[in-house]
Amino acid sequence: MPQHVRTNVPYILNTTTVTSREVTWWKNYTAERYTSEPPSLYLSLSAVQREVESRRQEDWERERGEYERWQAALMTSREVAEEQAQEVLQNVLPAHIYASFKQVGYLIVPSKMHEGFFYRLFHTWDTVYTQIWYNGKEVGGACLQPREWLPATDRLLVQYLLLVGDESQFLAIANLWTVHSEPVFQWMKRRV
Amino acid sequence: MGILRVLSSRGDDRAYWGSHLALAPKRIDEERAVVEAERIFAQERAKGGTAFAITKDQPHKRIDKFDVEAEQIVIVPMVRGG
Repeated sequence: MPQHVRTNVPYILNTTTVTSREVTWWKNYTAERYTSEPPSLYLSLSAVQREVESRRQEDWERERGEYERWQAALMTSREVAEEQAQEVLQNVLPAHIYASFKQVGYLIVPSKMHEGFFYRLFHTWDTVYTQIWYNGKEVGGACLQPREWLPATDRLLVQYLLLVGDESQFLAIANLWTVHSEPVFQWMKRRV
Repeated sequence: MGILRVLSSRGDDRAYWGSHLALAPKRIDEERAVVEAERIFAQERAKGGTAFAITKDQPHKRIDKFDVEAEQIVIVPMVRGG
């Protein structure tokens, strides 16, 4: 082999004239890492950089894999919990109310404490909404949450049971807000 | 009668007694089943849970003591303003 050759080694080196000793080292290096000493400072630095980059990539891929597996397991357990919560809702609600909920997608709970008011409850995959209606229009909202994580359907059931079974406790605990700047909730809170 | 349902991150956790005892995953005699349900009821109430008795064709009502005649008892965990 001539003293100086051009080879098809990777991008950093392929425009550089390298010695046959360097080519031999490169072949050894790619065959089995670190079995031979790098012949020059230039190659040594690039090898270290490549090793660092490769390990960083491996770490990142391992962490991403762990995160994806963890997230998949979490989502599966939450989907199972959500299915069970739907079964609970079906068993706890009276049949006609459950049928109406499945049809329209929300629950209506008339207020026992405040004549003319009613609550409209519905949920998305992770959030429960409670609207307060009066005289045919939405006048406000309420937010109340369990202290531990529950599936959305269970959280809907919590709000429903509190409104039906103990409305005064619901109004005392929930955060209430208005949507049309109407002072109805100050009035409601006073009468709790 | 009855099923005790404690709402949890798994959907619900259940205890059975009376006529629903056949649904229980483990064989347990009737008296022990009631005692066990009462124990869970007291434990969840002590944690701040609120209990509701669910009986067919009757409005749901809040209860403070274990009602052995209830068809279902649902315990919701402690709540706070969101």
